[in-house]
Amino acid sequence: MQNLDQKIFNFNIKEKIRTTNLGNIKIGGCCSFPFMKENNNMADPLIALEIPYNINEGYPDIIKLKWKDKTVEQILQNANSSEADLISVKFNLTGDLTEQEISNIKKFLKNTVSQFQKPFILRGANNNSIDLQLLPLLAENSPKECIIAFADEETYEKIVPYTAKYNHILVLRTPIDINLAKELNILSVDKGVNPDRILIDPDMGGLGYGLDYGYSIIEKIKQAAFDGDTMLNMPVIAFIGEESYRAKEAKSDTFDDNWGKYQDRAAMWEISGTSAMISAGADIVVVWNPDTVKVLKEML
Amino acid sequence: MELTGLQIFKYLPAAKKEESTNCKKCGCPTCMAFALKLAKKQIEIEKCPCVPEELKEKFAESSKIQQHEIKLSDSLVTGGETVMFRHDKTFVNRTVIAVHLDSEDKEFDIKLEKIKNYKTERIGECFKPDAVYLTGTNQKTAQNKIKNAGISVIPDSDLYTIVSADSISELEKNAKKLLEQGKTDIILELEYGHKSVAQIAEELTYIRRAAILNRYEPLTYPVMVKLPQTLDKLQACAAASVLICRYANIIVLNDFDEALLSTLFTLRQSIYTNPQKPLQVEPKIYEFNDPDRNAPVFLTTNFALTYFAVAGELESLQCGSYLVVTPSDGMSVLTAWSADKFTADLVAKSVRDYELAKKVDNRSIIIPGLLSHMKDELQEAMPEWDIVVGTIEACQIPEFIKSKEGVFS
Repeated sequence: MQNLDQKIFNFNIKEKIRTTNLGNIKIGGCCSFPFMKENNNMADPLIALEIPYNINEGYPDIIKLKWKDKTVEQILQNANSSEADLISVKFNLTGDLTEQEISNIKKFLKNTVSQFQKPFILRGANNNSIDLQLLPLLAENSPKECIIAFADEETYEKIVPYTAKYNHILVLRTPIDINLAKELNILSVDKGVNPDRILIDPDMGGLGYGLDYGYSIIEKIKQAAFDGDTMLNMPVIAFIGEESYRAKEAKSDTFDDNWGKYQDRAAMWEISGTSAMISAGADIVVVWNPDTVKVLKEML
Repeated sequence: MELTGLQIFKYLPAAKKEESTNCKKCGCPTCMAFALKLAKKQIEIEKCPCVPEELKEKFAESSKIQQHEIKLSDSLVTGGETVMFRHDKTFVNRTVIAVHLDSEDKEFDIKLEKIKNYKTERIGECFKPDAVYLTGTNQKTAQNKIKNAGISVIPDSDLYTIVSADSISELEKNAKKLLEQGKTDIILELEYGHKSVAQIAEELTYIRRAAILNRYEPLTYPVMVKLPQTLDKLQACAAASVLICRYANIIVLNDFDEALLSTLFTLRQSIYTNPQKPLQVEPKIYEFNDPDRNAPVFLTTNFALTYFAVAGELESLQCGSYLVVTPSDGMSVLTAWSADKFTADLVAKSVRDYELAKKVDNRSIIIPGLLSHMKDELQEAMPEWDIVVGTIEACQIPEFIKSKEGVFS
């Protein structure tokens, strides 16, 4: 492009995405749209590999095949030696926390989170009544600073004090709406969160199930952030693995031949959705399939 | 941005209250009428003797095309984009997804047959590979075979010229040469070379900016990218997905692969959906898992996302079920309710029109939890049915059904 007038390509920003550190990694810091090296943009999106606390039948074959007969600790060990930047643990509990459960979780945190050098995302059950007990427990007992996911409009008041006290990074989820995302950021900061320790989860659908809505919200958030909105320039996190494997295209092999082999399609469904989230500007993508981590790391 | 009638009017005598206000020399009764016509390009700017230089320049600039639309065959066009982000308006012509075939390939006929027979459907839209990218020495025969199969062929020198280069500056230089020769049907091929998809996406973004934001003529043509043969299936999926999102107009895949095509078509459908017009599903009764006459009946609106969220859960249930989908202009449950697109009368009419009573012996209808306040109203409009308030979130449906065990078969 040396002979061309640079002005026809330029894009100027007023503000960059906030940066924060977690262990040995840096989150955020983008100063342009994805893949663009202008404005000295050096930040690449981070990839987290997610593993459930309880391995159960709810997971698709393609993922279970990767785990075979391994225990959760062994699977985490593999994740720790993979190319993923972070490890995400989903505490997929279904009932109230019993004393036994609480002591198991404490033991788990002690035995895994402190043992592995990769940073962790500790994720609740997507159930407000459980998460209101669970997330404070995780925040208090995690042996190191983590990302805690997620608080929403109904739970942030109770969860914020715990994550703020232990300097964890807090994921705030709002339902695919830029104004609600901004509002929850402001409310949470009022409650005591350091705005640099917030990640925006705009919620979203997976490929074929409303991905376009999440995609456009992320693009809008980035536009607003680069335009100087300091209550929207937090890094964006996308839990695309869970959404990808909700789709029947990724779960079931009852499709006709034109949809391709199940193994291929189920792998591609997450890879494609994740590539789209990165293209939209997500700063962290959380995936389920170790193959996705491999392919995307090569791509970036 | 195109100038609007009002923006043009500001420069005319009537707006400036000058002497020649509404002089009619242009043939229009007023300056405002001229401005409105000019905005729609129904009159030439020279007809008005009072147009200031500044407006002439602005008008010339705004009349330049952002990205040219190029015809690839009688049934296929590419390019013509006008925005950087889909939410600014909508993207216009879906990324052309072409499959590479070589005329010397011993399996040419078999492969062509496969491409010809490929067809999938999603949300009422039918997907087929858009074109074959043909290489090889035996072009004429192969071309005819492909065309006879009803598939477009790239390249087609009768319709356009492809300029290829591995950098933006080379592309620009080559395109300029063609423009100087008076050729305006151009496809820019950005060569992948040994670059990463991240680098290709960066270059594509620069080219699109030069076109959309700056109307820089040599780069205002559709861009084609051929995936390198070194990529395996999964890598090709990642690369092509990024290229669909990041500004490729034409993507050439090396191999025909069903899983890859169905995945990419689904992504393309999402990205090219008009964000101002929600996706809808057909309003009717949907059946899941061969429901018997006692299976539970759910009800919701025809917003595609609402439908898919509920349908996904109903499919995963052990038991059969029905889903009555109301004609609510593709609005989600609460939006439809507040816009009067989900009224008790409309629900009652839908249930009647779809003849639900003939399909089931069960006389309960489960309504969305978000509309619990409508229960009495609905009950009154449909006295023969028992209105049951369901869950707020679709993902709570399995639990809800469990709690009603014994009520349904």
